[in-house]
Amino acid sequence: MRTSKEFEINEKGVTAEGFKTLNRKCLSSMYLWNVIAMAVLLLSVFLIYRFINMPWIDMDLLFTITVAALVLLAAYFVIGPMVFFARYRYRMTDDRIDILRGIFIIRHTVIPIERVHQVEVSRGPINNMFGLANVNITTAGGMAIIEYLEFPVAEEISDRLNDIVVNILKERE
Amino acid sequence: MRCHPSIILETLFPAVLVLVFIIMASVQAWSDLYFAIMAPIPVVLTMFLYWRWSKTWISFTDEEVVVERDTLFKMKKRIPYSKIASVNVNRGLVNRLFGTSRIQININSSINAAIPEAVLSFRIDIADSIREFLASRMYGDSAFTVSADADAETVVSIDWKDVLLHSFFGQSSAQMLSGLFFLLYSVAQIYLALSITGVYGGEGLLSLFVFIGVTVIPSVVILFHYANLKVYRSGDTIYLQHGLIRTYRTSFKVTKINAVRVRTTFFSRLMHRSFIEAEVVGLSSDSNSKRPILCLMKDYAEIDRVFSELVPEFLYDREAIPQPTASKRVLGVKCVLWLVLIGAATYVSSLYAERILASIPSITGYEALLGFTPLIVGALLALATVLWSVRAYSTRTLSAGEELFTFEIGVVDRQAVTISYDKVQIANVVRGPLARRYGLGVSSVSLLSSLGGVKIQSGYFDVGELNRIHETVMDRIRTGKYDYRKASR
Repeated sequence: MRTSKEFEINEKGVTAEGFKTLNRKCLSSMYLWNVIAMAVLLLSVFLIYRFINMPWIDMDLLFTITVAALVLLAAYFVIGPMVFFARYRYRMTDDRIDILRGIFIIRHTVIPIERVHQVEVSRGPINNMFGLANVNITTAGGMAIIEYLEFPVAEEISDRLNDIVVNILKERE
Repeated sequence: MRCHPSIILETLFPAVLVLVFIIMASVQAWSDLYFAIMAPIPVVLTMFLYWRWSKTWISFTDEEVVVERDTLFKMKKRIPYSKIASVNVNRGLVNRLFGTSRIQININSSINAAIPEAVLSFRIDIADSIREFLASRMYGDSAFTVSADADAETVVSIDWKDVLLHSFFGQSSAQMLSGLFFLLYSVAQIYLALSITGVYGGEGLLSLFVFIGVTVIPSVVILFHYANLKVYRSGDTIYLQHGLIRTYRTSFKVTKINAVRVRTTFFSRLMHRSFIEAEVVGLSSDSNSKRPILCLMKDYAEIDRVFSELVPEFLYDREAIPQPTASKRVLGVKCVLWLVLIGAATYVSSLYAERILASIPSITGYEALLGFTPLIVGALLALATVLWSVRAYSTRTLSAGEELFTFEIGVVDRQAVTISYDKVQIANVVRGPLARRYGLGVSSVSLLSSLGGVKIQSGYFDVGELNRIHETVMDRIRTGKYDYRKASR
């Protein structure tokens, strides 16, 4: 997939500004999640059409709209993870964390480590199957997440963040 | 020491009200057995609350407030004075009856910023001396040379006209306009019913109730809440005193303010008035207001004066940067997309309206005009969208100083939010597919507010300009310009 310059990575696997990329395993995790979500959605649609009678609604029109929406969603479920992977970059320095991400809308998040209150590594069942984890970073004003990291990488980031935060607090005592 | 026993009634009162309501609502459905089960509940509750009160002790040590409870669930809560963000004193109906005050202690926390860490009730004189003691511990003795008293001179004089205007026209324009719409609709329904049939059968009552619920009740609540507003500053502490039936006395240090908003609504601008709100950390405002109002709606010159006297720390030489010309294209395309959506929705609704009306042959006269409703609503929405897009270009600005930056945001209801770089927790630059083409984006910064985390979003600006916000935040941390001691004091 073609990416713009800010997402381009060199032979070391980082961008010109030092942003890292995710492991390709994240695609498997996202696709599995999308397959489950699509199956639940199709089952719900089937049950609604089969058992709920809505005489005041033009069922032909509704069916056309539903099919069109499902086709669009299926296309999003197929293409979305690829774009997400191609446009997900993160960077951690001694004083800040940057996350660059987005499928349609690109969001660049900056968290000064000085503001970090809590760091947590979380693993959902699907991520766990692929050895992936999220790092949840809590500040006083909200939370930011670095997603789909390999478990050792997530642990390493979490430990490093905790060390920096503890050092900041020690320096202030 | 123990709280005043009236705290038992304070806690009991709402619970008994709910209980009475339940009994009244279900009186038909239940038998005497039901009453036999329900009636002892208030007695048991009173005994439990009395037991809890008698086993709860509060002590003030050199370092902390300790609240200790020795009931079935043992609890020992320690609140260090250094962690307290604010101490609020207010008086409700029960407090007035027993001559007591309620003290609410709030700590710095993003998780439960809206929930007080401790709620205590004492006789007024004891409550006042506790508040003074806590304030002197929190802010140092010098900060409390003027205690929160009735003689302190307010920075701005607020009369009944100001409170009335604020309570009605200070609410959002959408709320005000939707309320007015329901009022007009109700009047039209009543008029048509009377002019056609000559007999009134309760038409328009539902719309009238919606108007009362949407516009009148919130206005009355604000009126009662902010009546007798008195605001003054002593040292680094701002004191607020207000309320008609329940009186609220709040104090907080200026360093606990993360952002200051000067707000106008569509109607307030017609009167050349604005008002000032503050985002204060750890301040629980236990009523309808999400953030403390430092000054109710006053004319622009007066607001400028109050701002400079109350929060001069949030004043700087502002050079407002307007949105770049390219943002017109982004807003234009968004407007066109909305118009297409509105057009499609209008078309579908018109088809449905036509079909429904055709199936009711008895519809004649003005009722047949109902078929045009989707078209009229669609046209009005389209006009509002175009006007909004045109105004959205000229109303949003960005200013950046050394310690502060300001987002001017909003189209119908506007606000200038001045934020301290040192209080930004997370900074985002968001670029949509269209904005990216022109190198534009939107900045969204997260802060800690009185009700937890809050996000404040700018208009469309050059990404380089927006990146300067987080670069300045980082630069202030790196170079030591950000003083953590100041922020935590």
